[in-house]
Amino acid sequence: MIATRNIQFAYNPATTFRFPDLNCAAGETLLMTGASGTGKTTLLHLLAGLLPPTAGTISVRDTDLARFSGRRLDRFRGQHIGVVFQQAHFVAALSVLDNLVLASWLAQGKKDPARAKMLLAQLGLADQAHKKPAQLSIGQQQRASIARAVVNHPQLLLADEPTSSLDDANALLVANLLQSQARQAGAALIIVTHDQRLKQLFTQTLDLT
Amino acid sequence: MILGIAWKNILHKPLNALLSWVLLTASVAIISLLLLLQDQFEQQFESSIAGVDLVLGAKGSPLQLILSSVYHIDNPTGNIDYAEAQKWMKHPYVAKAIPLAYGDSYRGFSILGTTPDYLEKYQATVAQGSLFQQNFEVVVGSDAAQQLKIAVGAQFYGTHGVSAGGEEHRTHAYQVVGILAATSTVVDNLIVGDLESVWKMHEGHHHDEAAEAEDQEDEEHEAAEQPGEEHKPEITAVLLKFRNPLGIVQWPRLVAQSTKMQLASPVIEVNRIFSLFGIGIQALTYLGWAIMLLSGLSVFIALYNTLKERRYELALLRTMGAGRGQLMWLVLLESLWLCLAGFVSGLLLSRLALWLISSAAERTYHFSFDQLGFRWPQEGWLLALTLGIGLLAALIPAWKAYSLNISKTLANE
Repeated sequence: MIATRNIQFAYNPATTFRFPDLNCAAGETLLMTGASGTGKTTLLHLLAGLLPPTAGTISVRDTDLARFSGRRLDRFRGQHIGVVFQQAHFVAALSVLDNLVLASWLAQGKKDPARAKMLLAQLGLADQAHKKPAQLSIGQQQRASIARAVVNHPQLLLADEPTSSLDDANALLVANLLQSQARQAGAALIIVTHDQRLKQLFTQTLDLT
Repeated sequence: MILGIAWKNILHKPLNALLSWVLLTASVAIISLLLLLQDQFEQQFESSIAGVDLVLGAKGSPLQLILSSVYHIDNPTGNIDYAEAQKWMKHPYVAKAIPLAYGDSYRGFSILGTTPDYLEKYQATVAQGSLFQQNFEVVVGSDAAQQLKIAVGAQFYGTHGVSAGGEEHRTHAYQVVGILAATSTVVDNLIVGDLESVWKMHEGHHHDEAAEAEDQEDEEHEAAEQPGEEHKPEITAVLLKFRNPLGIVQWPRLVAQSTKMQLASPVIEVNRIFSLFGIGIQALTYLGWAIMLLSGLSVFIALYNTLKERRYELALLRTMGAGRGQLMWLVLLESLWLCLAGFVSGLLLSRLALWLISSAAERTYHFSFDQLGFRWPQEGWLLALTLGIGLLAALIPAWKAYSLNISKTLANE
């Protein structure tokens, strides 16, 4: 589902990141680990199409991301790539449900409140749907951001340190939800983390050095 | 959807937008109130002088003569001899001459002695009852009738002088024979009868005028009814319309030199009032625009500050598939919403203020501003300008949203 070849990225000429090639098929989970400063977040942004690589190719569902630019890349990202960040951020002025509906509207041009409600119910957030995101607990917020990431049936689900601010119980819950939601959506799941707790859960890992 | 988010963003942090909204409201209210006032002021003044070329009256301030005889908002300059006035009234240069005789009032509303021509000039028609035909019969203007709660068939005693609370004329009662339809002119606030009524009202009464010589309540009456002299009919002023424009040019000097009377031009006097008011209105208008500029600055600062807080939110929208253009729109729309809200509330505020001013003016001057509708095209321009300011204020923040580096924003939480 996602494959990279010889990708490099340079913020400036002095520091160039070279990333090992990676492959992750639909339904698979890849754990990317590494100390800070090894470019974990940079790689995640490259995979999400938020940054263009200086060299190499990234293909998502056999499409080279470099083929897109500007508005079309934004649209492709919205439709096929879901991202969960370390801290769950939302459009603060909208309710949790509206945040999910907004995600479907931005990606597909149509609102899908039925799917949004269904996902919230699956993730145990049915009662929180009409609250503002800031009223939810951290664990609930992270679950809501997973719901938002999968609302458009993405082929690639990226998670950047999704559990680092959570306690053990919530970390386990979120990790399992990520995996089950990725499987349900038929998406490749890539988790970037330095969280030791996750290494026990996932077998396929890629260590950046 | 973007429109909705922009609106909810404003409501989410109302304090951020409050100052901008208040300033916008204030500036729009000031400007729109001035537009309304100026417009209606001029309209009211100009509609009343239509068809009056010159006004003949006693010597004194020409402005006072115009204000008293045309607008009924000042005391008359004095009385003039009817016989002498008639020499001018019957001149072939004159197309129409309407004599006016003041003297009495009823509970603050002037009783005017004149001819039916006066009502014709203001296109005042009788809504109920009939026109006055005999002495002491009067018709009442629509506003006056409403406020006095008077109907056809009612009788009342006039009060000596123009202001309320003077001495009543108990000898003759006025009889209301008609109520006039509303005309939106000064006639609405008048009680109108024939000339003889006013004269006769004072005949039986002038003998004790000497005893009241010290009673200076209204000097025009002292001038009008010099005790001891033979009682000649007198009037207060004559509204003249000329057939020959030569009269308008030549007569004022001629009258001033050869008689004890004067001729005043309503157009000149009214323009004088406008130019006096104009300075004040101009200054207030500048103030309105200055506040408008300030509100633009305030919108800019508010947007700029919230943008700093919301950088992450905007980057998030991009990862969810929003384009740069949509982010720019979001910021622009927020500003436009704010300006639109300010415009609407400012418009409402100006109407409220006008309504308050109008009810105060109606009580003291019998003068009302009652057109509360949207002023096209001036207020259309005001709307365009307000939105323009909003657009301008949002330009830099919108550009910042457009050119936001998402990866950097997301990495530096």
